[in-house]
Amino acid sequence: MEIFDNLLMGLSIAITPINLMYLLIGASIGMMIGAIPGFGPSAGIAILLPLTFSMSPISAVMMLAAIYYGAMFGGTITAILLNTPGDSTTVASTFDGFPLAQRGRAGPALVMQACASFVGGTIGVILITLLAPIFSMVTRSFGPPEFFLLCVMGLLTLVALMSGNWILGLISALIGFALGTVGVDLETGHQRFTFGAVELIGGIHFIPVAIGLFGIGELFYAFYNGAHKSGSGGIIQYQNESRFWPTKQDLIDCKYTMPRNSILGFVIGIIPGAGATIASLMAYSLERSLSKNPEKFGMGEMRGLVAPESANNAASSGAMVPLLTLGIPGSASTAVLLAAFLMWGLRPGPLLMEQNPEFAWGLISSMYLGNMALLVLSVFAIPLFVYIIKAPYRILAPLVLVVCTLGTFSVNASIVETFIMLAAGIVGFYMKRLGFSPAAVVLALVLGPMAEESLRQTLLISRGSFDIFFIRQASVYILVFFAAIILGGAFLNSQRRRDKLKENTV
Amino acid sequence: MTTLKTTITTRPQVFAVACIAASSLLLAAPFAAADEYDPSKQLNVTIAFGPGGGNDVLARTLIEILDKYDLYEGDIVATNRPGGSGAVGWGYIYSQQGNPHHISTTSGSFIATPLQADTPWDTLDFTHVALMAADDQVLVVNAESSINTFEEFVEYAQQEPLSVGGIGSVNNDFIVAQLLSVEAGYEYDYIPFNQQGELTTALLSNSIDAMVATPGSIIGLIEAGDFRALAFSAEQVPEALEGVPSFEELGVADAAVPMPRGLILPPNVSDEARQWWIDTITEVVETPEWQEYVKANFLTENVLLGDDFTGFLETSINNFRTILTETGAI
Amino acid sequence: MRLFFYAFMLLAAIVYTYMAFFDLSFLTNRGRMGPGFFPRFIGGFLVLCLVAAIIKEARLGKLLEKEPDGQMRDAAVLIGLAMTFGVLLVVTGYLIATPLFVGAALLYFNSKHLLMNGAITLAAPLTIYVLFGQVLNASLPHGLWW
Repeated sequence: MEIFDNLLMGLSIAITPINLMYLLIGASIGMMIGAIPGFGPSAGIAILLPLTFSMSPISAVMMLAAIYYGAMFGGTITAILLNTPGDSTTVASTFDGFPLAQRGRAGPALVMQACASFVGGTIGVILITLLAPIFSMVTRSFGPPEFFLLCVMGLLTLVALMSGNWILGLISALIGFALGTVGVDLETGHQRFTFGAVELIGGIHFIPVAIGLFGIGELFYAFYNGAHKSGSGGIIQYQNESRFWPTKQDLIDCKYTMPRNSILGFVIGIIPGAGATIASLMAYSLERSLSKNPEKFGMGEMRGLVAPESANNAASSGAMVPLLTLGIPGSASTAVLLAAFLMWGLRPGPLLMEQNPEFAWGLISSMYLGNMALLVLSVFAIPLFVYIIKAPYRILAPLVLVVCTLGTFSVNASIVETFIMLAAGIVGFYMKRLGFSPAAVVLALVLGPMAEESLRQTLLISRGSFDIFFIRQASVYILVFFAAIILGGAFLNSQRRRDKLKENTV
Repeated sequence: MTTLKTTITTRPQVFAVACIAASSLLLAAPFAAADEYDPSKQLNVTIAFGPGGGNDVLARTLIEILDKYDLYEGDIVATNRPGGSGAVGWGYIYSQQGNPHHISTTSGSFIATPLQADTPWDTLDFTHVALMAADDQVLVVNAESSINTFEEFVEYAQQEPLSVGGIGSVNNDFIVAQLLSVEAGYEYDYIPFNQQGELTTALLSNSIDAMVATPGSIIGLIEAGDFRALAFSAEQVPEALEGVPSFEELGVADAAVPMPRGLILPPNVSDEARQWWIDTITEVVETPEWQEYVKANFLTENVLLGDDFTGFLETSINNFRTILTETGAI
Repeated sequence: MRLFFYAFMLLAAIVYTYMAFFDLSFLTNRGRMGPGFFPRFIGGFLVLCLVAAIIKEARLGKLLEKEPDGQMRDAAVLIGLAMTFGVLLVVTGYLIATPLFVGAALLYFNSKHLLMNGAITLAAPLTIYVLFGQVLNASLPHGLWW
């Protein structure tokens, strides 16, 4: 079969000692960079891009791709251990990842996230190998109307986050939306809420707000709770740490979670824009609605961590589809990769896979190897991270604060963002104490501007008519899918209620 | 001997150098103006955008060439200072008044940002060295569209307004789209996007009727026959776009507003230093590496030195200001 | 204090809403949604929700509730140190600000182990310098002098 010939050819190119070395270096650096709050995949690639100028294109792309998914892998480590998502794609992983660590299951949580990332990444590459040209049809049918509908689906997951105290949840989401409107208005070019500061023209970025609200806010809150007074650990408990590996029950619980959310993540990841973020959120809410005990989500449910992790790693593979098949960058990270393609004299586009098969297939096969390398690396890395976190919190906390602050600064060399982060830290502390939802703030901050822009683009195109959502084929499919999910969810809910009622009466 | 330090932000290394040559550096800024230019001092290159973008690639190519041909004796340190569509980076260069050992590269935002935002600096404040190349635009439609030529495009647009996409609302793409409609006489709706990926996808999915883009970003799709190029803004059409008529041939030459890929120094730099850089850039644009860069990124060769560059910028600013005022963006 | 936080949020929300109504147009000159379209709804709802939340808290009598003293003090000290750290980064740069912050925080929270504190205080900026500055080649705040 042609695909396997291609894959074999790709493997023969990828498996040379020097390339494997670059792959390993890239994966370890990526993992390390991802674990530093502030440094996401795109920052990692951008920082190391100049190092690759002197390499051959295939070695360079293998290393950069390894950094890319290595950072996806590593970003979750801080999300679980410190409640600090390094990138918008790992926000959903904090929902259950951090509670798991707090309950003394940091080890199993990290191992399961490594497995989920591996499964997600690998299923993603398999789908690229077999079906990349078919999946590129998804990209070909996605315009602003479809993108808007997808954003709305992402926003609906906010409702799940508000289940506790709806008025505080609503306020949190509105704060996120309000922050999202800062900056130059895309359509008219007018400045909104910038107070004349040039640093705010580009808007308020996700990273300083998320690191502040989650990471720094958590630090202040832990001190408020006296976590620094205990001898070791602090926010995370270790009395159960004899159980480093996940239990059999964890694996049984997650046996369908990984594959189904990997496929979901991959398909959504193909769509240029916020693929991986929306994918991880939808995976989380899908898993929550399929669960028999949705009330356990957010309290440290393994499936609540595994679902978004499989999805966001599969989505990062998915983002390679438009890049390889159409030359379209779907995310900040793939945009930097695209710039690198041009620099190496490649012409990204539909003909890339025909004209440079050794490059395209070399990259694809390196992704198989990279995912395996990451799984192996994490076996060594996880105990190390767990060990670091065992240091007394009163010593760890100032150091974490320093790394968060300087990590935030480094992304854009911006002191304004550093202060946004510190201010968000104070706000996050109060939000946590008063029962607001920091997660709703950052998700509204990410999804709000996307939804607003795509809706306004849609209405510009349709000259103000909403009919466009019912005329375009792809929109109709999404709406139907939408309706099916809502109806299905409602059906499951009523079914569950009836079951419970039965149990109670019996 | 030139030692190229590193190619990305390196504060600590600046520190190291600063410690060794602290006194000379401190003296350099205010007093260098009157003296002859000294290319043995450390050169600081400010890149007003993040790594991987067009401006970044330009700066790094320039540094590579300066290094390879020993055109600059001292160390060269590049720093990315992104933020506010270039406002932060060029603001930094602005603050280095009179210091000839700071340089920066330009792009379309160099003209648009000060018009749009209240920046302390203005495009014309800086010492302009040279325009080294221009990023031109191409008007494309989806190949499935029934529009085959620019004439047909205008015909269609005159019957029913078409939607034309581009990046940003205060940007070259919009200016070109707007000028085209004025020159050729048709109505249209401009649809702004944030990123090239979303814009390209919108045209691929037939959400918009046409778009204005730099050739480098969509050449692959044009070659594969997914997109059809209708018109190219510069006179010299690149090889990859052979057969596409230029704006000039179509009688809409005034709609061409190339994005300036040039070099600037801080304000009030001495004429000697400016002349030194003009001479150096003249050599740079002759090198095969530069030719290769221009070709790989589908830029148009367009070298304007010194005051010619200033004149070019003045024309562009007027173009921008007129249109943006008319449409109410500023 | 809860009242302080709510008052701050409400004030920010009112300023936001005021700007949305008076600085930004609701519709564009072509009659589409303008830059102020969504901000007006967001701001308006935000003010309403905050007022509702404040009333609810006031009814429960939580608004003026006093903090348990000991708890808040350590958190307040850390917040104060963090803010000072931010200002020091601008003024003195990370090489001086980092050991000052780490040293002060450890001295306050971990006063029993002076030797270890000293070692960490010195190691922190060094590690940052090597990791961020050398390995990652990332930019770091350098202060006002160089």
